[in-house]
Amino acid sequence: FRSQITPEPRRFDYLIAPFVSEFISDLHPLLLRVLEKALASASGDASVQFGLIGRTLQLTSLLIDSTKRCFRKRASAHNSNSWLLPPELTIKVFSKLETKDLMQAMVSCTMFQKCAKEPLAYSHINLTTRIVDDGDVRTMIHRAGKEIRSLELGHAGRSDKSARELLKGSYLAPLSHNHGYIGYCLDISVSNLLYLSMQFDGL
Amino acid sequence: MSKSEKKIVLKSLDNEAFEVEKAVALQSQTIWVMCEDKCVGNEIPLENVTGQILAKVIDYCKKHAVVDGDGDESSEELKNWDTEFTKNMDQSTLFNMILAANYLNIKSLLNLTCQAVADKTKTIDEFHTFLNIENNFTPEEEAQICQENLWAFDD
Repeated sequence: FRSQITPEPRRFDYLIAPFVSEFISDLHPLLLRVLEKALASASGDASVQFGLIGRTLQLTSLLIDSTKRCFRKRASAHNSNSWLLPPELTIKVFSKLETKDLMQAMVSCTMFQKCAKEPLAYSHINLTTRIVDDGDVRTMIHRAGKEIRSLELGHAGRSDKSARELLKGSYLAPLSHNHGYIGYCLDISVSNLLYLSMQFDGL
Repeated sequence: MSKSEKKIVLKSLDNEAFEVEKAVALQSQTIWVMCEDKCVGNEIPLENVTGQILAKVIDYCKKHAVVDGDGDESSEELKNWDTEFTKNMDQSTLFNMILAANYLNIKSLLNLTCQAVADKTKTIDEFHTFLNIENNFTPEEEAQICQENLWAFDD
């Protein structure tokens, strides 16, 4: 089911589309006149005419690209001006988010993406409200690294994968390698569990 | 201890003065260290906190000092009070509370206010609206992040 998913339509595009089209339509009569003139003065050679049109299209798409880039730049400037918190406090806020909401933070803007990649933001991993597979679990645990403090997996009343299945032995191997203690903890705690919630206070 | 020794005056960035019980103010590790070092008199200037925010911080400290001292309020009631306390704060107040809690080093208040921001932002739209953040990704970058974390985006 996953391959069919496309990202949500982007706010950003909604925002700038009117500006871009307004800009183009302002330029439109001028462009048309220039293009017609150029075509008229070009030789009757079709390939020269096509070349001319091709170049015009290329220039137009360059124009749109640079307009979009300008808007992204403006958005970045807006974000760094309006966001009051320094990175360490942003990460602290992010560490309070449920893990799926942390992923939403990650696609909000480049500044948030940076903070949402920090291990501290993954101190408390909660994957109980979404359907996840063992690969997802492994990725999240690895992003947390030694900052992991708690982990919640599986859902008692649900028939999808149990916590036990999500933490199969083979997936614990890389964990044991990197963070021996966590791998050990997980290994002894997940047998026959539907729901897993654990703390790593001892790290 | 005389009465004057038990009270302390906190002065905000905009020169608003608040007289509070020492026990209330000492919940701030920053103020605690200042008092311990005897580097200040009875009046403590707090150069990073406005009066409006400091008043709220003091409200919080008073509530929590009473409970710690008397133990006449259950932790359940205190939790409810905390929820009410942050419930109607707007974005800018919450952020300034986080900054103040961090500067004054009041761990429980920092946790409370960070949690409040987290609770108010659950969807991508809330990140943009409540936190006043604009998307500055290219469509390709955005698609790539979604692809890397598909489990969180499939509705």
